Amino acid sequence: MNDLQASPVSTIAESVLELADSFGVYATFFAKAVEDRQYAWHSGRFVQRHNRETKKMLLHLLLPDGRVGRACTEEWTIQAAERAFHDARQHADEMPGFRDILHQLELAEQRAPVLPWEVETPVWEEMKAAMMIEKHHHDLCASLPADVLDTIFRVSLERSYSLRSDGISHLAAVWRGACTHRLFDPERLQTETIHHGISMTEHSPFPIDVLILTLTESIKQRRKHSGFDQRSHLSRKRSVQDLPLLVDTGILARMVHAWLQTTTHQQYAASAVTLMLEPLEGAYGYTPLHPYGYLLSPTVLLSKDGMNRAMLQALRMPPMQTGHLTCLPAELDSRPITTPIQACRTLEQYGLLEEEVLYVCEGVERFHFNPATAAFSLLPKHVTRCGIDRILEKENPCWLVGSLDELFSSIIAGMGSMQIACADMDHMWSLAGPAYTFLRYR
Amino acid sequence: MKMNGAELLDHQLKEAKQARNTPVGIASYQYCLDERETIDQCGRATCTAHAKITLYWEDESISRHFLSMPPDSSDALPLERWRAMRYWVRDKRSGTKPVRLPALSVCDETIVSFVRKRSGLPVPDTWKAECTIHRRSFCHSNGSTLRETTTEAFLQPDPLYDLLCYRSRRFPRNVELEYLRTEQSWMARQPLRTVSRIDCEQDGVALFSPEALRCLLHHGFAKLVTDHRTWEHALPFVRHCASHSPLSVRHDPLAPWSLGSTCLTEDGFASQSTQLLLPGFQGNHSPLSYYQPAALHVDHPHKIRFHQWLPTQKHVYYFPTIQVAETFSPFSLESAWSPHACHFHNGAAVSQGECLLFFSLAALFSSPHITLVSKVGWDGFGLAVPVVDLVMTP
Repeated sequence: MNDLQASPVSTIAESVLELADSFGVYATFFAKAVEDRQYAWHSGRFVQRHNRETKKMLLHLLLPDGRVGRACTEEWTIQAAERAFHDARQHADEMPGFRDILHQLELAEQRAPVLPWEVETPVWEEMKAAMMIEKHHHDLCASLPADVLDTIFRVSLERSYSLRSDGISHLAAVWRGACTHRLFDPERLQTETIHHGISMTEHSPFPIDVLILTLTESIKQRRKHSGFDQRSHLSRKRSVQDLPLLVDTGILARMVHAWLQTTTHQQYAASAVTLMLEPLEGAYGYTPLHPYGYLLSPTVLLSKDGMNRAMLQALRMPPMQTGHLTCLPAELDSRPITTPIQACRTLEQYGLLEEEVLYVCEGVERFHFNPATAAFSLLPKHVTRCGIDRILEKENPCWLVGSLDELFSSIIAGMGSMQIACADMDHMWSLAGPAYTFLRYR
Repeated sequence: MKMNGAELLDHQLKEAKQARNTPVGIASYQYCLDERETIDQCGRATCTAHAKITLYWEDESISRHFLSMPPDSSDALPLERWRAMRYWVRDKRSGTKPVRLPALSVCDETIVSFVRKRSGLPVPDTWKAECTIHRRSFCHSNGSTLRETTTEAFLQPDPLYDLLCYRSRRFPRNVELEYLRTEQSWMARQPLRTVSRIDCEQDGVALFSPEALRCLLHHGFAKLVTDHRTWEHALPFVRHCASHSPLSVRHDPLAPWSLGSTCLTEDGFASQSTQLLLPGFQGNHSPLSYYQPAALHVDHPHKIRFHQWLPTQKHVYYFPTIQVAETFSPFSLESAWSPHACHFHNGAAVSQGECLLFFSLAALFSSPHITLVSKVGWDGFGLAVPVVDLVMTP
């Protein structure tokens, strides 16, 4: 972390906070510098690599009259920071609940472990990792038609620094590695994206083999389902109301993350789910520091005891760009459940399935939602219909529409081992959840 | 004298090139610097600057870097790290040839003076507004420099209605401001309800805003036809349209005042316009070297103004923005999702909500009932087509 300390960022922060003191304002300063390197291959050919270095400074002020000011700048100079301070002070707004949010973050911080400080040269070699991805890319190309596969491998180092008026300062560093395959289907002219990412420290080995294994597994899954016309029933849409659904971790992740962003949150009944924000090292969305400058620790956002509204608000304002969630529905069976039929039998054993058809949805083809109304539209990649006779039959996916407001009162149980999935379209958030989750919208 | 970001970067690169005590030196370099200065309705300013740098090393290798600016004046450029990023390529395209940039209407002096003065914008207090100056400089170590200044204006009289937005490279003239004000008060009188979902009646007309139309064109064929690896796959559609569609589509970065217009690309080339679809046109012989979806423009013999057209229609479903699949076949049945679709009945807005829309691009393009709609504040034409024609197989 030495170079970040030597660079003017801590000096800038101190001078802004001094300025805040002279105005009697409580301020939090947060700065983030990201350096990332990207490698790209097109159909067996290395195309290019490049690096990006970006910086960002955030300032939040709590004025004596309770109003809240915020400003953001990419320029790292004392002048720019002071300009941002005056800007934030002059354009402050009402923001009810802000003190509550800071209080909740403070509570979370008290539980958080101390972060390791120094960023040394990592114990893993980036070039070696890139070469393994290159080999993986070549292996895939061998089994695919010419000119259909693009692969991007990205390694980034994200360094954050924060300083608050109460004198507390934090430094954090996160390494992230991610690989994205884009597969173009020349017949249907469709593009499919397969992505997996992880986070790590400089002390642990880069689990590049795990990354590659996960990608290979996803591609195998894709092949298993191929040869099935997914588009013929596209123009139908169905309400999720009274439709017993079994969804995989990927679908659950997108729905939960969308729920976090909705502003309605009105309908909520006690449920069998615990949802947590968790800075989990290893998960792609691992984020140790909140943009308000507080250390994060595992915090319950929702459980049968209620909802932590202040903490939920803290995730939306300002929007946290990365994060990791853990969703724990009541667990039926901890034995490994890997197929829809096993999940279906387990549900029957526990008497959760009435004489009815169950729809097993796997993979996210499209997912849209409106944060203002909580309405969502989901097009799963694959749908399997589990009939009353409990015989499985593949079905053409159609759009499923419903409301996110009722999501947590509809989750009944989870099954199978915990898995980590991408929770948003930009691959910035991750969620750990059971392999299958049983949902029933009433 | 204190150096600004651009001068500092130039100076640091020059020094790096002259350094002799290194294992591999820099033979030449080029960079594209994009500086943006934006003010909002109150005169609050934000500045950003980004540089895209290509280094040509003495061992014939190259390396590429992206920096958010200005670089810390305290340290030199991270050359050690950059040297480790170099690689060898066969095709080293570099914009060293002298280029003449075409004269183009992309910079509005009114906007330039607003941003310079930081005085706040002459719009009603309740409006959201932003004006931007974007300066691009493309420099090569041999001393050649190309510059372009473009401007942007974005006005939003009411955050609730996307219909009322104004987007252009030019600040609206007084008559246009007057029109926007009238439209806002007209909209405020509408009995508009927010509903969770809108279902399109079969006897209605779908109206795509210029942005929504560009989204359909881009993901449905333009993205494919402009990429050298996929363009051949899109040719059947180009040929189909040649004989079935009266619509023409151009990639035109030279259209006056359009937000997609620019003379100077970030690779240091002068942009040019290209026909993508045209009745009787069998396709280009090569893909484009420069492409961006914002520069797509359509043409059709049947055009009308929004305020004249709307009252003549029974049901109109307006889509300000849509989301579609990454790429899709123009011949297959597809779905688009619009977060804020608006339903007009006999010229009055009645409800607003999200909408799932089913269409095939080939069916839409073959419709004999296409109308291009123009409106103050729209950057290009919107497209109106009967809902039934969206899915009818031609």
